[in-house]
Amino acid sequence: MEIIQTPSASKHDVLTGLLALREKTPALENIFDAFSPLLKAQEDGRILLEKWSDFEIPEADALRFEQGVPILAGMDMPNLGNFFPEIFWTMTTALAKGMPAIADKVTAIIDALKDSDSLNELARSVWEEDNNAIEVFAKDANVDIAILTILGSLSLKPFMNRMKDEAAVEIENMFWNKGYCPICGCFPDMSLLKKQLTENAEYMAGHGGQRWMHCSCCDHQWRIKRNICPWCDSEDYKKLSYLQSEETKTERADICDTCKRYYVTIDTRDLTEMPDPRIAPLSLVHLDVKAQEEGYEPMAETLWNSL
Amino acid sequence: MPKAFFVDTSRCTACRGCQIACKEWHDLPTTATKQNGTHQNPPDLNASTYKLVRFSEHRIDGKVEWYFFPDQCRHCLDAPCLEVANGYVEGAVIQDKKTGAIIYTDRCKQLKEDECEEVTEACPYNVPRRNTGTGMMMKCDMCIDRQQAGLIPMCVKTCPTGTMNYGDRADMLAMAEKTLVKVKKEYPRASIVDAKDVNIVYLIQDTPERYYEFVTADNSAVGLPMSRKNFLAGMTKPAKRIFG
Repeated sequence: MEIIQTPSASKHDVLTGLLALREKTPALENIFDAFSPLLKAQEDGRILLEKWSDFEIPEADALRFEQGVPILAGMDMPNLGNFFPEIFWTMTTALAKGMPAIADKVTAIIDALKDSDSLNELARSVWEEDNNAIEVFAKDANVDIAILTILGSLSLKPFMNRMKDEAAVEIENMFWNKGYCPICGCFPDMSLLKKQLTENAEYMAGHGGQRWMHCSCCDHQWRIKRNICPWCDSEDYKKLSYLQSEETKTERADICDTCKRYYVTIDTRDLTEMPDPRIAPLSLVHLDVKAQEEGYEPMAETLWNSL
Repeated sequence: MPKAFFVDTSRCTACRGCQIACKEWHDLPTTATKQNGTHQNPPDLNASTYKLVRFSEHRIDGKVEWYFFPDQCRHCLDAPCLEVANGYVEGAVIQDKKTGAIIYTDRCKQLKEDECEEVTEACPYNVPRRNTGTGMMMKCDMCIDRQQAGLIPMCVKTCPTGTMNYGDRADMLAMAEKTLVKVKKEYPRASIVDAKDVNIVYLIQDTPERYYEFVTADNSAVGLPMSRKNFLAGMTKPAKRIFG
């Protein structure tokens, strides 16, 4: 069984990939300039957390998992130590740098929390999705709750990414057919259609592309059926369609008219290089715009498809 | 990182999809031909056929073996045709740094007919052909226009059997080595052709001469003290010195 697998790490670092994309699509320069500090900060966080191992992945229960419960669901927040504050401040600086329009609100957060020793409490509130606790935290510090929540979520992502590789090993022999991540339960920010050669096929090697979803939170990739909506599981082919520009046939927004949700897709079968899914969605914002204009909502809210 | 093809001829069924797709993409005309007693059609590469599936039929140990070879420019790492052509007209042939593709530029038209013949002679794989109408030298350009747009070459896109593979050179060489181990179990004479010299790396399942004359550079060195390729590359050096 090879339904779930984590491809090897990208050969290129995030910044190199962003520069290449920026060169390829100069019309989106502003988008890249706004979000590249954040993506770089995420990568720096991932590198920093190579030293972090104070966590234990829950043992996978095949029955529970295969019924659709992600492996990390219900897991208590591990001890994040001093890593969380360090990543939080890196992320704060990156957000202020990339988005000058909200820099004053970010500066207010820096001023209010710079001497705080309770940042890990913020992490716990975000981990447990305890909105009341986040609200109390924001009120006590007198800061913008929306931006604080964004910063808390962004700062937790590198931890999810760090745990992902070990969690993927736990579930590698199990079956998963859901549209949300088998590890952390988040919805995908994009999908990739990949050509897969069947080595043992005697003559023909199929041209059909396998659909691989990319998790918007932990960066895991998993394969699902192509004829299903990852959000509502609908297989009604009359309501599953996609939006595509005439010029670029390798990129599209897959839409579902049952649940009115969409996600962006890159068909990699004809591409010379495999896109880096950590940054590729940035280059597809025109499809986000189009899909949202048509009345569809994104499956995973990201900074670039929601701000 | 330079790009390469891995052409696994053990998977080729001679459907000629690559040959047709190449013509379609490059908008090349058909070639008048006739029945020659073989399915190989047209009989040879020409100025409007950059890719040709060659057929060769043998009876080996009482069993009929039919070998197919999708022939094309090998995009040599150190291309003799480039040396010869540029000896006469600087910039006639260039090597694209990003992909490693050997590209014939419009300046090839400035080459005289006999100089074009020298370019073809210099090729250890006997690939380039001259368009007698335009005077242009023609051959596979590795679909450089597609690659610059981030798309894989047309023959690779079309191949339905997994014969044509494209990717980073290191990955293609690794794929070739892995496949060779598998193919050798059934075809012990199988080998990888000239991998260290070219970017179009072929796996053949029998000895080169059972396919055709110019499968390997070394195979065409008949009567020469060194390989044909090295010999011809050496021949061009004085011309290079004279013409700059």
